[in-house]
Amino acid sequence: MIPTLMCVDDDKMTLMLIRLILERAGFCKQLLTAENGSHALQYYDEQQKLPDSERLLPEVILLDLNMPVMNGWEFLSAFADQYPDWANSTKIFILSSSVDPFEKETAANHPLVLDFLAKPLSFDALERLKKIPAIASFFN
Amino acid sequence: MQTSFVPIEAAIPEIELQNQLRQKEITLELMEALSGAGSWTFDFIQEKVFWSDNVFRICGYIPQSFEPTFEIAYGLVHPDDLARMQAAIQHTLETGAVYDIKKRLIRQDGEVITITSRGVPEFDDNGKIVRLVGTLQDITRRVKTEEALLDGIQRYNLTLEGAMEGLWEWDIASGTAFFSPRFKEMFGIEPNNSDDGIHFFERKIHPEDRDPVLKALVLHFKHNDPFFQEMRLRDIHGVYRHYLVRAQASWNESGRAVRMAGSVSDITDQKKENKLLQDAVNLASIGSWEIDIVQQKVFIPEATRQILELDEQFEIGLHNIMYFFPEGESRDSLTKQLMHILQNGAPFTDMELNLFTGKGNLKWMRITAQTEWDGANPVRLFGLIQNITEKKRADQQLVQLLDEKSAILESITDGFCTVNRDWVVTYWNRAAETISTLPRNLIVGFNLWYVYGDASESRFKVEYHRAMNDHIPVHFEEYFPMIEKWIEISAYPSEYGLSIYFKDITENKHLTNLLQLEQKVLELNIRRNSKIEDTITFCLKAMEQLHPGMHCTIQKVDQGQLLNWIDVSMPPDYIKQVHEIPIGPNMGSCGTAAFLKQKIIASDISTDPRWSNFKSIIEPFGLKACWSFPIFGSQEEVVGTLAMYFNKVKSPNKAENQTIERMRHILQVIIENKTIEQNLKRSNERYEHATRATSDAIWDWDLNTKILYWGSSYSKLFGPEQEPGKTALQTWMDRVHPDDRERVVSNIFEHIESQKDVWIDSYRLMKPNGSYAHVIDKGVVIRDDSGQPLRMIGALQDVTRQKMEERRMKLLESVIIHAQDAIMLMDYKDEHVSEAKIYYVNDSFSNISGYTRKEIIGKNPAIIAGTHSDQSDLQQAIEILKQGKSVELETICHRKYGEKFWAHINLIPIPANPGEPFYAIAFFRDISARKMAEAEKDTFYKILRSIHLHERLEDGLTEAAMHLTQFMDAKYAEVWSINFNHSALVYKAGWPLDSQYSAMAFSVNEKEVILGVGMVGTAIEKRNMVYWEYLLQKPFRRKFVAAALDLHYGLSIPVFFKDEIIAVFCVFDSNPIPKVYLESDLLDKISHQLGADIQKFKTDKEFSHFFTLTPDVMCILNDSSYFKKVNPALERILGFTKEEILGRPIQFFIHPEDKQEFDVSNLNTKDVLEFENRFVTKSGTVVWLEWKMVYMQSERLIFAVAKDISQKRLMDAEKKHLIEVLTNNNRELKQFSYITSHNLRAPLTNMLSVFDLLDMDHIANQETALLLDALKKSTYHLNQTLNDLIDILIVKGNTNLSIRPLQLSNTFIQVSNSIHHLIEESGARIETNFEKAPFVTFNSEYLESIFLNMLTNSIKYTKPGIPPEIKIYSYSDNTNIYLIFEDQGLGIDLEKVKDRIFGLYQKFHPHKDSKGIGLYLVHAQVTALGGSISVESKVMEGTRFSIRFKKLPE
Repeated sequence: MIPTLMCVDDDKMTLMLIRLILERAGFCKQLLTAENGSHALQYYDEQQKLPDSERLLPEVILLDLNMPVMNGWEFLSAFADQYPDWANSTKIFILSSSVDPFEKETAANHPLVLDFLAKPLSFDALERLKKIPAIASFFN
Repeated sequence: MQTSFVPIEAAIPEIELQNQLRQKEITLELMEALSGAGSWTFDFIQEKVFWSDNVFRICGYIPQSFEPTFEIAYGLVHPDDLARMQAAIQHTLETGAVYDIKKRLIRQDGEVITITSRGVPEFDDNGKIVRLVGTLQDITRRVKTEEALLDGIQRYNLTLEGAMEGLWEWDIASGTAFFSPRFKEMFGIEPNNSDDGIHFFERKIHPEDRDPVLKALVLHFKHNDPFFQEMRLRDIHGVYRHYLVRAQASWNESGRAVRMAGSVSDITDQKKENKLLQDAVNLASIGSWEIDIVQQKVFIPEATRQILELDEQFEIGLHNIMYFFPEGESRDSLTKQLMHILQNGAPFTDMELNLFTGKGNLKWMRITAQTEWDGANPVRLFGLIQNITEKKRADQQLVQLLDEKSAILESITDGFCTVNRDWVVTYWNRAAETISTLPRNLIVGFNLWYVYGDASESRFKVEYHRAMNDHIPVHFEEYFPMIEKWIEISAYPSEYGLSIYFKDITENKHLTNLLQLEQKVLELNIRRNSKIEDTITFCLKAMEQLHPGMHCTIQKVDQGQLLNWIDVSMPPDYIKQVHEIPIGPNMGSCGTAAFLKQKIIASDISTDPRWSNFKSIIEPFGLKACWSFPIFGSQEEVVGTLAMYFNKVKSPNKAENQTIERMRHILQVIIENKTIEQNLKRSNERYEHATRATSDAIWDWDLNTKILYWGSSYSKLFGPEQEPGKTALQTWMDRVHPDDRERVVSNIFEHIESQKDVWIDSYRLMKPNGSYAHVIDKGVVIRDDSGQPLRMIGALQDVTRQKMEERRMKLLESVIIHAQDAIMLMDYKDEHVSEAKIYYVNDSFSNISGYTRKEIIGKNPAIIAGTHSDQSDLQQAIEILKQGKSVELETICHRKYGEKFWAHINLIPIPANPGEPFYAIAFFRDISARKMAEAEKDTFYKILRSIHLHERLEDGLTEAAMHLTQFMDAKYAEVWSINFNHSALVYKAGWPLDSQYSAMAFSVNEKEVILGVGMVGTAIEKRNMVYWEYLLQKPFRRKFVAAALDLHYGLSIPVFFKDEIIAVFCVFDSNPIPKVYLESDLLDKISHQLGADIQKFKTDKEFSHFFTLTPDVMCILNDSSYFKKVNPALERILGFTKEEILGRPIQFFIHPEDKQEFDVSNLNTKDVLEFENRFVTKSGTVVWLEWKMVYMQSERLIFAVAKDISQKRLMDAEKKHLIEVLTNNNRELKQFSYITSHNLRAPLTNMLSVFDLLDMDHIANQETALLLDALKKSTYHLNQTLNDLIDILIVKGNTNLSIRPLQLSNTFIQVSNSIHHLIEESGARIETNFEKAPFVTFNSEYLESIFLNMLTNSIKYTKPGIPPEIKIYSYSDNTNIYLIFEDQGLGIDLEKVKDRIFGLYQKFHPHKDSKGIGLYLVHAQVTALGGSISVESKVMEGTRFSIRFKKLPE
């Protein structure tokens, strides 16, 4: 199971449904949610202030793209800028309902992004995710 | 080495010794071979000489080819060295010292070589020298090298010592300089003053030369560029002169220049000479040229440019150099020679070639060249070029002239000369030299009137000018006082000037005149009542007339005094003063002549001693010369003097002598006769008889007394009447030639005995000088009434001259007989020239006319005239001949069998005596060749003109055919042209334009040309002229038409243009076409020179149609960008008239903003220049033109075409704008769709998640559960629809898809796995075969989608109850790969759905899963990547989809 997973999405209902699915699938122990990129960044800012031992850093982030205040791409670049070590050590997946091929292409070429997951997040999708080497280690 | 020297005693170990010796020999030979030296032995005991092989070789012999001896050895030594050598040997023999000498040998081949020879003596036991063994080495090469070296050093020293150059050396560090004595001398530096250093030059150099010299100096110091400068320096006198300064610096290790040394030479004079030379070269039109073969460049100096008339801008190079030479002979021979030089290294032969100058003038140039080689490669070709056009022109004219006239020139003895239109004499033959006494080198090349400066208004000048200006031949006679000759002159004008024939007729004229005069005088004298004074006056007048400038007088001698008697033109006052002057020595000419009884010639009275007493009398009358001849009476007494006075100093010439002598005799006879007449009737009789016999010497023989009296002229001719001790009769008899004497004497006596009156005989009679004269002696016997002979009176005539004349006539006759010119003599009565009979013809005439002499003599000359002769010309000639004048004409004559020939005829009448027939002589020259050439030329130009003159080619060719028939004297001519693809003949024209001949044209239409068939076809196939005789017997296609028209002979002449036959001329006639026409140059010219003109005509016409009709602009501009030619399109587009356009440069019309773009100076390339620019029309509107231009450098013209693209431009702009708008819209729309999709999908995905999470089992209410299920289905359906739409959106909108090679089998497996349960459920059997084309390059997702859609379709639309059978396979051709899906399912009714099968939301089956999107998507995906899809299907039988992918390069 993934110790800590952060889901960044502006849609509360989506967040709720994702939480339910993750819980039922037993995908993670702890779920952090953020409403947009800025919100997520604020979380990291707070963690920054804490001593190492008290910090809680998600191993995996599910990141929506289309969000108000700070969208997914903006978050990625700010994250890489401000917390490069954390950004590099976190497994980041895009979870979006976008159909724009440009965004899929960008995700595929982004150094921080592991994969592009199309919404809705289904149990099948989670099963496939578990087989990815970067994730599989959490389930052994 | 000789084994025979081994003593007999030592013979035991002989073999061993031999071996040793052999070893030694081998070693020696080896050494020899290595060193090139030879060894020799002089054996004094055996008196033998031994040479090694090398000695033979050194001396030039084959080794061991003979046995050398002392004699041979000594014989080889150079004579100068022999004594020294003998002394050296002697020295060695005496002292035993080593023999060592350098000497010269003469090899067998005569070459002198230097050798060193060293020898060591061998002694016997007694210490006596037995042998001399030595070596010999050829050191010739070394000696020569040494000599050369020595020579070089000496020369170098000498050069330094005697150098005219000033030398200097500059120590840069210290600034000091050294100057050679000569240098100081040149510039006036004090011998000790050397401290000036390089500043010397600074002070001396001309300010203008300072900068370039400094520049060169810097370059030399920096890069060691050669310092080799021409500069002006002030010399010792302070005058600037030109110097060539050479210098070389040396540098130290750190690269600083430390020293510089150099020389200065004065080249002022050289420069002047060069300048002079250059001027001379310019004057002679000589220029130099150079081709650098390595750099592929051509260099020519200004002088050559001028000769070639080239602009400064014209760049001459290897690419255009050949265009100077006209195509054909000129270019070919030059190319040939150049190839010969460059390939075979042959030397260049001077050439005289035609070339076109820059201004397009054709000139003759003489070109010389030399080649510079680098090993086997030519690197440079250079030489001179000289304009020899003028010379050539003169040469050609002369050659042409001489060609024409050479036959005559060679055979005539008449003077002949030519002058050109500038009166420069171009030819002067040998006879002309003799007659004029002017050698040709003094006149040829000079203006005639410079040479004959004193001719001023003489007749010949007037006549020559008349001939030249009015272009008519002139004939006249004129007396030339300078040479004292009568000359008969004919001058013929030609386009080059005049050809002048002249003949010395002095003697003829003179003799004729004299003869006539004598006759007249005698006639006058015998008139019954004639007065002697009248006769003599007549006589004197005639003499004065014969010799202009002569004043004659006759004085009587009476009692020792001269009495005036008769004069004609003497000043009366003078005559009065010389009356009654006594005779005596030094009493003027007459007094002295009368006194001395001999002629007195005072050629210059002022210096003549005989006139010293009378000078004062005569001088006031301007008389300068006086010749006087005594007139003797019958008793040898002087009865008078005949004197001739002149206003100039003068001696008698031949003609004058002749006249005077003859007149004196006549006068003597008259005077003698008249004197005696009055007293003696007998004398009268004597005279009368004598006159009848036209005698020279009169005799009277008294047959009773046997006394013979002779008239005085006898003694003049043959010596005294009586020799001592002989009677006159005996004297005469003794003088008769012994061979004739007996006959003459017996004849005369027989005659006297007979009753005949006149005796006549011809014999030889000795003259005082011992020679024999041919005489004719005539005598009349006078008898008394009884018939007894009383006296015999006779006259003796010296006919030596006549005899000679006879011989001359014989010679002349043989000349006529053998003359190359055909000569005809005819005679006619009175003026009946037209009834003349041929009297004589020579062999040449027979040859030319075809008649034998026998056939033609006695016939009327008109026999050679015929149907083609110009009757009016002949008539005119007859009229002129009637007037006794000579006439020349050129006319067509006919040979015996009717063949025509052109003759130049010279008809000369010969004056006849009254009552005798007239004769005329006619010279014929066959000028057919010339006439033919003229006619050929004329006809060719007529034909050429015909083609260019007519609007329609057909009309031109018709006229050409007309000229051809006229030239060939043929009946019919026609012209065929050949069409573009060489498949058909087209009848173009025929002549005469007669309806009967048109049958010839129409009997063959323009269907086809079968090569090799028919006369025209044969000519085309053979590519040559074809002449067919007896057309009926030939495969001539129109033979029956031709036969009907009486045409039996045909000729076709193919006309070539650039090796291709474009037309054929045909000529037909009833009679064979004469050979002269078949071989005529005209046909050749038509064949090879006319084609270009016909083609040009066609092209011009075609082009002009294009030019006028094309909607595009076509124009020609000159290189100053002025319009030279424009077509109507440009006028229409610009709105300006042609005249307005032609007067302006193109820039005038260009839009101000585009002016920069157009620059013709860029146009010197061969490339096509393309650009678009704007033009402003007359009305001010702007048009866009798209230009293509080509610059023809050779013509310096720009050829341009342009399209009006204003409309296109406008549309382009509009289109561009529309596309921009649409693209924008599209992009926005697409973005909009993405956003819409996203926003739709977001809630939809949530709904899907809800249904995922919703546990329906927990829904208690049945109805709620049902509704929820309905909601769930709707949601899934909505999602599917949305996804489909998005797929389409992506396929349609995606422009840059990644593609890669995909293995079809992999994709199939992947897809079939993903729908595994569907396949299993349906029980489908799928067969695949991708072996033929295993890969396609495509987008992987699309390919998956294609497989998925095709498979699911096949499974879905299977026949009910029958499991699907699917075949999938691939194959490829050159460009495509095909992927085939075949099933045996329901099939599609293509008739119905044909157009919609690949449309969106098209459903063909009422199947529950059918959404009508699959095929649409497949079609979209396939076509998006350049492929295609097609379908074949039958309802209830199955469907076959064929998908074509483009094969992409790997």
